[in-house]
Amino acid sequence: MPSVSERLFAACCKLCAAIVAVTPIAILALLVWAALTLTFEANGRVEFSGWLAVVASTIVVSLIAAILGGALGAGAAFAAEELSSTPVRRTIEGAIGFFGAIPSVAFGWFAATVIVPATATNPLGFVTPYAVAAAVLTVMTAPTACALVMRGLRRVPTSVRFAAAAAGATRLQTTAFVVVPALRRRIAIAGLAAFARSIGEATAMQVLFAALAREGVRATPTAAATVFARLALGPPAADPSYYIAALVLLCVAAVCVLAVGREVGGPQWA
Amino acid sequence: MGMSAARARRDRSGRALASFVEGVAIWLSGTLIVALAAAFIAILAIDGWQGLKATSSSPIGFDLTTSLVASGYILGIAVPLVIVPSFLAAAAGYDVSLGGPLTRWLVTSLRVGPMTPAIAVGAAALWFSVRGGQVPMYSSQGIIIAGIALAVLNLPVLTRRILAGVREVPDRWRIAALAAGAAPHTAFLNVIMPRALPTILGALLATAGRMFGETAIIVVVLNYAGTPLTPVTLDLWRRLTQQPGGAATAVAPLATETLLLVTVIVAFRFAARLLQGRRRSEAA
Repeated sequence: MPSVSERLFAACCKLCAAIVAVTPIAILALLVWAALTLTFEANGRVEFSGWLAVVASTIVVSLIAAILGGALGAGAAFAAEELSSTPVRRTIEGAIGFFGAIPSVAFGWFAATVIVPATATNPLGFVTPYAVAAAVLTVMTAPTACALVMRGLRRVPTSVRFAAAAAGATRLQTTAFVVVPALRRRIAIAGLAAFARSIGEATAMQVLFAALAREGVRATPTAAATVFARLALGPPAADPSYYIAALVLLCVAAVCVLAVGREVGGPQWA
Repeated sequence: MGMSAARARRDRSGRALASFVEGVAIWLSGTLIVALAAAFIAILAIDGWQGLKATSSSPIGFDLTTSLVASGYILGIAVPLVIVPSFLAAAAGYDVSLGGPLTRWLVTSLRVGPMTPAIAVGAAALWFSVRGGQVPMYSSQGIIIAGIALAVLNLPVLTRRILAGVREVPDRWRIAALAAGAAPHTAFLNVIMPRALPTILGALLATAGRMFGETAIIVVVLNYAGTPLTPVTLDLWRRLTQQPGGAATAVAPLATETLLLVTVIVAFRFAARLLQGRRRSEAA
């Protein structure tokens, strides 16, 4: 027979587990409620003009960032774990940890005060703003991809490496022909996680596109940046389209994570 | 026979080329990451130092104490709100006898929870507090709502971090405690938790650092509430987006404030890392 304290502790644990488990659903429900209420108040008329360009900009920028960030993160993970001596590995891990700790607004500062003035001449034409946005997101998403691939690398059985070494393979050959094929799925997951991270990034993108607008460069911001700017700067946020956009961002991030059926988004240092 | 030998030679040379290209790409990735981090640190440190030197003889350009106090208020609301629920939820996720059927739901939810975009939480918090502008928001209310929204954003993150920490303690400790007749909650509190304590504290520090640097939620809620308290991230965001750029007077305080923000967050992370270094020796 469990004691009273045990039952009380278990009840508290269950209550808190329920709260944590329901948190994403509660956020989803609030956004659905907001979108439905405001759409109803507007007699069902939701203004979606201009959103097509925003969606296209978001998809293009996030896809490029996911591919580059996934590749950069996976490459850094392989370089650190497989091909480097201990001091080099620690340096790469430190760099990745540093990027993982930097807040979005600091990336926004870097983009607005360093990159945007440097590209003010608009060397790539209309592509420049999106290239800058993708570059910033690439650096932001690489730590997520790197952490995932590193965790995968640590799970590759030692016996596999020993077998490759016994067969005469060098470290590079072991990495290229044994470890990389074994982690192919993991690398794809890292790219998807980078996509989920970049599609919801609001602060850095909003600061970047605001800086571009100040410089007179016309560009369509990403969806997260648009929602952020309108909620923060606009009149009392009564436009349902912003809540619908936030809802879609949340759903896309959730689907990306659930689709691969693996745990992502965990702490980088754990 | 001759054809298969030629094919084998081609395969070997192709594999060697692929191995070479892959190795070069991997080395480049590692070097690029380190070079980018070094460039970021160098630019931030140089600009921030110049900003500090420039402001030593003139007003600093932003009220540092007020900003830090405002950030402290929000952390003071958010951190206590998130500690106990995360710890208890992690206990439920660790041991089925404590969490029951909720353990599985929790583990599934923790896949999605940490990836929730901050702007979605900010939009939900704004809607919940003002109902699209129909309900007024007072400045003190804004601080509380921002703190609660930060706690909501970080609840799954901290739970997952604590859960990862307690799972690193070898399972033999739990089994031994249960075999010796300990109740599940006693085994968790008296045997597992002390061994995972450095990790839990490290997780808490890392989460506090993340909260300190969170911008989207703070800006969305506090800019609407019009509170006189301006946390560091809100002040930085206002300078970056609402002041005319290009002026030297505007650039120096920006770099200084960013340097301060990054330094505080990296310090939080560094402390978490130090605790992480201790955890393995204590958990074993």
